[in-house]
Amino acid sequence: MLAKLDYILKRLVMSALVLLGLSIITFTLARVVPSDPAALYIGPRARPEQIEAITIKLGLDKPLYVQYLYYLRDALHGDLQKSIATKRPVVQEITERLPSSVELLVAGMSLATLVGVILGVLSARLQGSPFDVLVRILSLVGVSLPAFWLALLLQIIFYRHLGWFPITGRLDTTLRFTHPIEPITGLYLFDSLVTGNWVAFKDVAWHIVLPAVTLAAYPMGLVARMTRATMLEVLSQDYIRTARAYGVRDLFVTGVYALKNALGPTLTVVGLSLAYALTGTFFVELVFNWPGLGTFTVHSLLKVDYPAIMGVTLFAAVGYVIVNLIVDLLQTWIDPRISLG
Amino acid sequence: MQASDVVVSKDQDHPSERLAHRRLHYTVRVILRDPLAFFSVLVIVALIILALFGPWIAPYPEQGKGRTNVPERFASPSAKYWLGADQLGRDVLSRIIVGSSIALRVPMIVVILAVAVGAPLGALAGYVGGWLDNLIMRLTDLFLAFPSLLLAVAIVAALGPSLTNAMIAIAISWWPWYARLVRGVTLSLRERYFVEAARSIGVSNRTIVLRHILPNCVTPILVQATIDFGTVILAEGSLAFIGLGTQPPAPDWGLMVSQGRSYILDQWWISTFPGLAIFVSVLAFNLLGDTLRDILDPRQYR
Amino acid sequence: MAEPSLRIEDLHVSFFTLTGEVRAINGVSLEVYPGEFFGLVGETGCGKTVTGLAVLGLVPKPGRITRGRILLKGRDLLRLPPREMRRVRGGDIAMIFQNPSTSLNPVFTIGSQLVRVIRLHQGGSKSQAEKHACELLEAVGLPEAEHLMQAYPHELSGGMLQRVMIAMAFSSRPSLLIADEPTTALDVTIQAQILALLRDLQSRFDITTLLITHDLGIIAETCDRVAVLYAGQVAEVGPTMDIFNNPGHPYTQGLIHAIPRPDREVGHLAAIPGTVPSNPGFLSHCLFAPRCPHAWERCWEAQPAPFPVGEGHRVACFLHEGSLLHASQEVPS
Repeated sequence: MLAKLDYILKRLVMSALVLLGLSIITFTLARVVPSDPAALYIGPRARPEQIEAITIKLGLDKPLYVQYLYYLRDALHGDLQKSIATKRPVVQEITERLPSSVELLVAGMSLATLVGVILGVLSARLQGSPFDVLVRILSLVGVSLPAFWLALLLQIIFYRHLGWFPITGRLDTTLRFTHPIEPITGLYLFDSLVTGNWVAFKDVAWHIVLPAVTLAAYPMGLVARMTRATMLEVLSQDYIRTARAYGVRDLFVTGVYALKNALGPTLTVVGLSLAYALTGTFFVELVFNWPGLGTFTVHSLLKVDYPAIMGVTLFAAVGYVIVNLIVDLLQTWIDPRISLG
Repeated sequence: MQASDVVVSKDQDHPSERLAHRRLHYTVRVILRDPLAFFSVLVIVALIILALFGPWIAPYPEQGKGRTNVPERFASPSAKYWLGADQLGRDVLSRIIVGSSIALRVPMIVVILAVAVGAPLGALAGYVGGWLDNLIMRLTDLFLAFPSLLLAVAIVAALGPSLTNAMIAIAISWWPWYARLVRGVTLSLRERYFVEAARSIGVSNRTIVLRHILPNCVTPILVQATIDFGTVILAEGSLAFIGLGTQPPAPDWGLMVSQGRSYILDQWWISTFPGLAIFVSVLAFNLLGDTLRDILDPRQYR
Repeated sequence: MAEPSLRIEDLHVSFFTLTGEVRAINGVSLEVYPGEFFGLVGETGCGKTVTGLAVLGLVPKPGRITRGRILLKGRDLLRLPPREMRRVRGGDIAMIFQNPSTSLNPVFTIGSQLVRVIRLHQGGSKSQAEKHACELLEAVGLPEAEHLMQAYPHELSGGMLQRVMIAMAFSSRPSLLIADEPTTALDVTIQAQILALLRDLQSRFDITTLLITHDLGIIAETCDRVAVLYAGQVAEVGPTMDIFNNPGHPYTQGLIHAIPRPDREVGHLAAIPGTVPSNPGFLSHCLFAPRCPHAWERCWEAQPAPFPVGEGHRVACFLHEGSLLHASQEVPS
């Protein structure tokens, strides 16, 4: 137990350093590159006196490292400045949009992991069979598909031609009035389920299918391939032969005995594919008009809204580092051989 | 006669040269036999041909480069326009063909840049070790701690949207992979006996790295680079889709998908075919990279 | 005369690889009697491990048993439905393998793996099985059994792990124990301990043991009877003392002469010239003929049957054709 705490502490320190480095990079880029951040802030039709006033107000006349320290101090206090585009605090913009993105990510990653692991395990067990070939092709296709193109393709097929699923937003706008969802967590699926709001639940579920599938394509491909490769290796190990030599049922051998050994690398890949999923949210949210952080980030990027960009970048970095830490901890729990050193 | 000319280097080169030759022949034979691998090579060769000779192959080359043809806008796929015409009347097929040069140019430059920066740093880190290794590793950690595309997006946003900036951004977020890769190989090779033998007869460190370690990195780098070609095409297309890459009227595939998005429901061909082009290209590179990895199996360097 | 516990009749095993069919076992027949310690010896690649795996029906793909019968107490194992066979594995027949460090699942505790096997073959509750497991661990000489149950394989040494494997093997009092090179991966001192343990358990519980090894020394020390395997066939079989004192097959003679003797001055180490044929299954002459110093025309015409040369001693060599009687005869006890 003590070893674990020590490990967590070490990792936290490391992560903090990494985040620090990242913030410095983004901050420097944001301040150094544009010729005049202040003018950018006000807008094109500013008068010179206004620009000058803003410069002093934002502290842009001070040396760069001082600016950075101010920024850092504010950030640690939860203040990430105001968005240039919306003039509202960045923190607020983030927290408002966070639940939608989280819901989408969770839905997509769960789908990807579940389907990926199952396909990978079966494919390894049935190596050489047509099913195996199919899974391998599918995984390859999954990692080769451009997310934005898949999104559009799904829209054409499942909305335009089949009419099965909606393609915009999280919820039918009329339902906001007739069956409003009580905002407990902001995760519509959870909130509607918990409050028994079946009409809204079904609608939200229907809205999340296509975006989640689009998001899940790439991670699913990665997970399936890694699971398959690891399972193949595990299944050829001596201890599997021992289990079979003692009459253990094949289902158990594959599904539990072997799988537990394969979970480690699979978990690593899940963590890795989370990174891809994060970037994937940009496209998926954009194409499906999903009101999440992804759309906000893209808009901020295009409008060159530096405080917003930096805020989101920092936020995403923190989230990503935390998730990686959790993944690493899970690894030690799964495989007792991994030392915490 | 220098120490580097002595026994170890000479004898070391000849067997490995022959080995490399044999491996090449074996590789080619395997590829020709496997239908999927063969298909991927075909696609890639076709891409190269299109990229080099696009303007001569495309049916409407000026439209490919951007000349508009508004009277025929939204023409659906027909004998005249095989893949239809876009919202400005330009032939989609020609645009795709001309755009292939962008699609191939970007990964080439990016991968070369990334390897040029990453490999030496990785070799240095692995061979010298100590504080230098630590420093370089922390640096790569920094870059790798972040999803690479996210980093690229941030960099392009800072630099301003253009093709060149997109390439720079992607290259910057890519080099850590190669540094890590080469460092891994270097570390595993450093402990091998032939390095110790070479050192004991006075071969300089620089020679060891250049003549013994780096050549062994070629294979894993090659495998990684092939797969990365596909990934970079995807990355660049994605950047262009958001609007952070090539700007109109360039026939960039990602850009074309983005522009056709508003008309997706009725004039589906404007977005579908460029996206298909991206998909097929990425698929081909991934397939080839997979096949190469299966054959050359750089796992021994893990 | 007792019925054999294990009777292998004309076993043929082939591996169907991409480069063609490799016949690993080409007609192996032997009998192992209840309560005896039977050795199966031969050089690497002669098929001894495959024979052991074949008995359990665990020949790995792309291998397959193509002919023959394997009778355990009269039951043909090759004809059993899968569910029955699963009960035999670890129940009536138990096998321990060459590399104990990799034979146990690294992500489960020793205890959980033992308990699973015990509950699979004997039923009972978890606590009953745990108690049984502890007793077994103590019986094989492992201290602090309760503590050990919570340990993971990587925390134990090779010797200890092999004892755990032996404990697992004996958990259901199998009628046959197959030990495939159980000491090859261990230190010499541990080797002796493990062999002593096997002999001790065998005599205590009267379990028939089939010991597979390439080490003639181990055979001489521990086995009652031994079969010498060459290129997938039985070259010679008989009581250990007979074989060592009176080796009938030129291959056996070569093997015994090749053992370095510290008490004799030797000019050079004797070795058997030549190499094992790469795909012996498709040859129709005596497989050892190319390397045999006594080969003559007869040896190139056909493959020799096992000719009896003494009590329970058979040699598959034309040199002994007609020594006693033709055709296999009932081996006297």
